[in-house]
Amino acid sequence: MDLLVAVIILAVLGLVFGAILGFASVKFKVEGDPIVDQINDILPQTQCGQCGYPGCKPYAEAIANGDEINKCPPGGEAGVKALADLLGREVIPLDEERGEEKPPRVAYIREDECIGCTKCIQACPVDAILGAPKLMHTVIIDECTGCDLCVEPCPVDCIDMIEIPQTVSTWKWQQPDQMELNQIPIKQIFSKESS
Amino acid sequence: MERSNYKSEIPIFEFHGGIHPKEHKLESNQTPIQKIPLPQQLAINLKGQAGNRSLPIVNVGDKVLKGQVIAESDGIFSTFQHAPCSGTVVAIEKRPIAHPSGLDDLCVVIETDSKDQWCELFPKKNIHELERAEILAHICESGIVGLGGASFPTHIKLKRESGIDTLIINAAECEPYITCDDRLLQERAADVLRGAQIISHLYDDINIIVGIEDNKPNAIDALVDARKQLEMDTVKIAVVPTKYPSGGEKQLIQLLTGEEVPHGGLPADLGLVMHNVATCVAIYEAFEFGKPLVSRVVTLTGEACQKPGNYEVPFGTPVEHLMSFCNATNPGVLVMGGPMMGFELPNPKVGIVKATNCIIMAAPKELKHDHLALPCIRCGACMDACPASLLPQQLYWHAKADEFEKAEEYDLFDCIECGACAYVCPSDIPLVQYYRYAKSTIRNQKVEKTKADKARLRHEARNERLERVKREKAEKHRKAAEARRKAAEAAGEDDAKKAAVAAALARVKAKKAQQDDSDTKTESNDQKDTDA
Repeated sequence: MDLLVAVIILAVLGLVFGAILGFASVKFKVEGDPIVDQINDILPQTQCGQCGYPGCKPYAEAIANGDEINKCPPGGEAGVKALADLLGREVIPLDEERGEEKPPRVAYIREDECIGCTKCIQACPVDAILGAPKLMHTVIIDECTGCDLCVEPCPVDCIDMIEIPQTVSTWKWQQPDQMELNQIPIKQIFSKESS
Repeated sequence: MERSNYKSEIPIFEFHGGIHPKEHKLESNQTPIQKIPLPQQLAINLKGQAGNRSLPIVNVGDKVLKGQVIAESDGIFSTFQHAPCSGTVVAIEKRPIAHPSGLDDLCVVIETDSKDQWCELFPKKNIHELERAEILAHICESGIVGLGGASFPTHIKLKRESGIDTLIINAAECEPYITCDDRLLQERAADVLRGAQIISHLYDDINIIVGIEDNKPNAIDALVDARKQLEMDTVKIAVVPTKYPSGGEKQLIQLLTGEEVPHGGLPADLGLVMHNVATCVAIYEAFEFGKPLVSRVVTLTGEACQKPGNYEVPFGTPVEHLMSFCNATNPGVLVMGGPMMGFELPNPKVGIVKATNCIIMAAPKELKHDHLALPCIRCGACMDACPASLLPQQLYWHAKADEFEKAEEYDLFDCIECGACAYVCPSDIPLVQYYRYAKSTIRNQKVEKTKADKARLRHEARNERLERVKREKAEKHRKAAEARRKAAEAAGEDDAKKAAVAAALARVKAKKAQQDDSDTKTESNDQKDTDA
């Protein structure tokens, strides 16, 4: 009799928990892969393909499946560090084969030389180039990610990559550890007693 | 320094922390405000306020009169700018500006003439007949910004109308060395109160409280006299004990009301609006005389300054010019603003802007250490000094380690960068520097993040479009193929029909032929029958 009770109790428990788990898996089902989105959030969205994948999202998926985290030069060391933090992996130096970390740049079309072939427009991953066949093209600077992909296809070589100059609004304070002592703006040193 | 024994007219509360640095105010507050000879050139920075750059409306070669508009508001977050003297526009170009970065930005350069001739001015004395929007527009067109140091456009600060019941005039001026508001009150207290009256009128005559530190006895006396003279008995004078940073907006509010501005909130959430004394005078002049803001009172001081005092300086005046006027040869450090919150000027050629309340021409050892910061000993003195009740030491560790998220969790953005923590630090760690670094990095990261998000959306949209175009093309091909097949089938059907018709005809023919046959047969049979 005791045996029977135990078996019944275990069976009922099993059924109840099974039902709860089954319900939870339906109710709280996660669409897509959240880790991919988190990785994609860290990637700089340059869509340059230097990692060997056709865009940031595919690379994010590859990282989630175990690829190295150091293949993104635009993301730089900071990007590798953020990815390492997120995924609990080792911080490794950037893969030099993929290119080096460069200051932010934008493409600039020398408009006099443009022949209107639309090849750069087709190459631009973020639709930042404006133009039509046989008409001059130009880059919308605010949308350009500086990915370099338009430079190669240009048959007349009229696209330059220009570094974005620092302005008052993009300037930031330096880390004091990296500053010379006398660069630190103010050090209050007047005698500390009140007059 | 001498303390006023005037009793505060409203109860005074306390704020956490704060420090008592040496005041250094007597050097500059003993002489009246004087004018300074005009320099040859003025370089007016078009980003001379918090917010956006003003849009220039003059051209190189234009003759301008004093007070003439040279740049307009962008309509969103900036004000008008005016020629600070008469002369000729000689350049509109990038020049070094008064900013810690030492970077260049767009300036209108005016070659001064000796006439200093005003343009035609349009006073608006009838404020009681003006709509609220008209008053705000006039404040914007007069180029008025907060002159306490942040230079936030005043017309934007005054925009919120509902729920405001008290105007606080900030006359605390708590930072060492600076005495421009003190002198302004001593000499023009009545104008300060008249300006305050205009602001108060904007909110249907709300209460006015003047908050002032007790280290300005002469200014307090001048205020009391002016109040009597103007019969503005409802104005309350709140004398607060001298403690840095009691002039901080949030700190003064806490001193006068006992309430704290909520995290991420504004004084308006408590029904308060606060303006600096110099801003009040600027507003008064804009309405009474139609004068736009073209100059301000600047304290020139420091051990290297031979003529310390307060001077009325037109905007765009090069700091170099002020230095030569004060015979300040070779100062050790050149600081714009006070010694606590100001910044070292990277270049003496920069022009005075609306935010410049003080220039310290310091002797080489006056403001600076000559030794390195020592390690943090975790004494907690910074925590006791912090007027915002933050944990400066935690913020320091996180900022140092680039852990910006954690720094934000510890309310980094509630830090007012007053420097009290760095002042008390026994290891002389430049704490505020770390917070400025962390704040500006976080701001940049946020801008980059929005840009990346936009790029991602555009890339996704493009992929989607390419996919759609591909699908549509495939669909078109499929449809075309189907149409062709149908056409072919239709053609085939026609043949079949023809064949069927032909077959039917053939059948009919055959039948007919057969019938003819049988007819003859029957006939013959009939014949046979008849024969038989």
